[in-house]
Amino acid sequence: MLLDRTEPLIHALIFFCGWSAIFCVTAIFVFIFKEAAPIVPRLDWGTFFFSLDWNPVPGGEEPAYGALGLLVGTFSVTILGMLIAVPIGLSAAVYISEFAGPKIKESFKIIIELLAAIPSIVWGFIGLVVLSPIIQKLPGVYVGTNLLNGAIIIAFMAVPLIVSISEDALRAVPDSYREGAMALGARKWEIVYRVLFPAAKNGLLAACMLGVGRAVGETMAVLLATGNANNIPHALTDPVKTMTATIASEFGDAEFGGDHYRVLFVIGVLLFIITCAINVTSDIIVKGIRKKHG
Amino acid sequence: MGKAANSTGAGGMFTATSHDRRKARREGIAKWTFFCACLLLIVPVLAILGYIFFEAWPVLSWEYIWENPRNNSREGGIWAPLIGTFYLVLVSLVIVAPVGILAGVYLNEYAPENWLTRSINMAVTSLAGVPSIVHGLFGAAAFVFAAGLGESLLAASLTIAVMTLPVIITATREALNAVPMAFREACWNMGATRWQTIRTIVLPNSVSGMLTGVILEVARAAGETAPILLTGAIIFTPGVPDTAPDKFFPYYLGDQFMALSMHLHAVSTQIAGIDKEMQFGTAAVLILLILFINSFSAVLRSYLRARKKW
Amino acid sequence: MTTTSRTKFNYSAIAVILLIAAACLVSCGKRQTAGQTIQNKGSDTLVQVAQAWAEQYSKVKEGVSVQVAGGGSGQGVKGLIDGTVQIANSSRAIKDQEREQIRQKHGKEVIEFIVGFDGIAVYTHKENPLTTISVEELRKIYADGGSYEEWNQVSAEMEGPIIRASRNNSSGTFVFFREAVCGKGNEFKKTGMVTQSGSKEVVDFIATTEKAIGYSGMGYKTEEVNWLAVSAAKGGQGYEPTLKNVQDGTYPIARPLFLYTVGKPEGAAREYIEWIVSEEGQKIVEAEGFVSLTPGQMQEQRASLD
Repeated sequence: MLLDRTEPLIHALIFFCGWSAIFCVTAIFVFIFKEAAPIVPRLDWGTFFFSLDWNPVPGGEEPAYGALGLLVGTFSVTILGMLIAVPIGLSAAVYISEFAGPKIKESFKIIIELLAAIPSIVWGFIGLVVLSPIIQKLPGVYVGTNLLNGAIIIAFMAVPLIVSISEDALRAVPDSYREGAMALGARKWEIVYRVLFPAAKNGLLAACMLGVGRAVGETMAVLLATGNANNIPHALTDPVKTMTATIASEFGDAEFGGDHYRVLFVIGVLLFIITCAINVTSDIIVKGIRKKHG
Repeated sequence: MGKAANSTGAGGMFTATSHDRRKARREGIAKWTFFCACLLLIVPVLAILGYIFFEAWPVLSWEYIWENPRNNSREGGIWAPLIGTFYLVLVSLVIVAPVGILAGVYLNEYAPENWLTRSINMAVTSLAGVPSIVHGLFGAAAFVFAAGLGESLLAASLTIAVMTLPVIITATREALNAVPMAFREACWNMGATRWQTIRTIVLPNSVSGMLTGVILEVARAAGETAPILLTGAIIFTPGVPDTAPDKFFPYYLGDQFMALSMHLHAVSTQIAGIDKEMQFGTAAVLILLILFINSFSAVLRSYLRARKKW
Repeated sequence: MTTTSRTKFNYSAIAVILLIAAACLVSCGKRQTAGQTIQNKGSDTLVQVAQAWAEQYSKVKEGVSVQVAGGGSGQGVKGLIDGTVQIANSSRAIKDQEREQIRQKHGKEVIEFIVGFDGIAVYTHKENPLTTISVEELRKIYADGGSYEEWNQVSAEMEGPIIRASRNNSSGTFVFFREAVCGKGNEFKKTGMVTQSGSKEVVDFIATTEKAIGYSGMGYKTEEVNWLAVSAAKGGQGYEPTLKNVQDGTYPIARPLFLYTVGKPEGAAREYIEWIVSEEGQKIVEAEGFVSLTPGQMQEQRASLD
């Protein structure tokens, strides 16, 4: 039969494709590292991590690649975004998983799934066109595209992810825990607070970490919403510039193969390492839970 | 509510003590707080989406979809970026769907439980978490420069394909996982080989799940901007013919192309003196497109789930 | 059995997808021979004009399609170097290093065409009462070590912080403005400048930010922003970035706009550039808010084609 003869071929193909993910991740790392590598020994790392002087095309002598402002920008947007997203996300997950009736549960889940699907450029557009004029009305705020704007947008983007992963984590807690607590006279809120949170804490942690990963890597939304000013923010409403936005906006101008081009790849490598670490760790946490609860 | 309990019988065994009432109140507060968190999430977004559609309403029409942008995208419609997005999605799908589905098959049906499989799984997770701009850098370095494709539809599609690979793999694996083991065992017992089992039993029974994955890939590919910004999308190309049937085949694989997400970026940041409605119109169409694709996937999934016999 | 019928559906679906893919590839291949394509890329300042040229030219000359991309002056030259672009748009003169790279890679010289001028206008919010500013004041606002941080330092009747808006720190406009305002070899203030990746973004930003000042091509002026007359020294005669002031050189912050090709352009590219430096092409330059060449300059540019 024809099939018998083609079977080894198909098996080979399946094996080959099975490896595609490893192949892709390796290729990504190799390629971006290869582009970054020539500058790695030459780059002044002290300046890179501790200076605010980001001046790739200098008027005078030497270009300066002080990425402190970008690092601080990325982390301030991420942290503020998570401060908004985590409470909302966890609360929403608890409500959906423990309090909501089946109909509300279903419709909320659908809406949150749709939220997750809105592309980042649309979020950026919302930040730039809708949110910015609103923020500008606050007293003492001069620039509408700023840290707060970016953080709110990031929060809205991260929340659906946090909700769905935490909801999974809460659902993974066996019902016997709930029943046991209820038999002891605990109210729902007490069950959530005393039983579910401790039991699902790893999953919830993983959810928050994935949120952080998403926030660190987000590009188009922060490019449009944060104002892109290289500095250390002193107020919630100061504009900031993130690592991702720097790559997106400066890659086009950077001379191919030049130092600036390579430093942008260095930032890319950093982003790659940070997000991979976050994702793999949270994945291990989640897998650990699955194993524990069967 | 505490009052009523109080008045019926003080000191009775089943009346609420002040402790109970406090608990009840706390319960109520907690429930409302959680509910408000949901509303805080959903209401502003629905309001913003509503606002976008409200602002976009004057331009939304079939002509807006059907006409090419004119006068630096200040007039006309969005046909050229829309068809560009279509081709981007199509080409990336043609590349990624077979690879992703077969990878899912491997991971669910073949892969032994060992460190290697675990590292493949880890690679899938990491790949899903790589920031889109890093995918863009990779695409630029690997496809545009190293492979010599230049900034083109093909380079952008390859980049998008790599980016969306984990979406397809994960969805396929979940779909295959949902097929009961007994189905496979029954087939093996009849003397079928592994591939025959997969081909005739496992794949047909998991088509719905895989289709969901494919549709999610389409939605993701259609919305991404950062990777294609660096690998081939452009602000404007006048080369798109205005008449059918040519307007359906505007780009070849080596061409740079317009895409809807890129178009939104361009009209909101690059083109001077453009009407607000044109910006909101582009945003509205992009949102509608993504929501439509996603709802289609959701409906399909629930329909096929309802049809399942096990 | 249901499974077999579903199997058929499964494979026919795959077949259909592959067929569509094949069809589109075939149609692509066919179109490739039908017309000529010119890849044109570079400066974000020029991208509006370039698009307008391309759009108009597709009506003038059938069968030639000009693909326009922005991304910055560096990107266009980068495209020339790796051979993906035939005509690069640039708002800055090509660097010697880039010239050398092209010579090495292609064995040909870079040819430069001036296709118009751009006055870099200094914009403020429309409610800002300021009408004239001197280059020296601009330097105090923008340059590293400059003392102006508050509007009342510029004019007693104003208050609040000066929000400095700027183009991307590697764009041609940025480099040009920095040199024109701060002088050669000097830098901008290191932090706090709101940078925008597009020329239009700068103007939009100023339109919505009352305390802002920023610079962008004069072609990007809208109703919502003022532009300032710029004087060489404080209290001196200020000149607005108008067509006349740029053409006769009285407006101090103006620059030529360039197209670059590798070697003398031939065929479609040559005809295209010839058309750009003709009256018809120059009309578009003006329509997009830039400054056209004088008839004498047009003649000069056409001469450098031969």
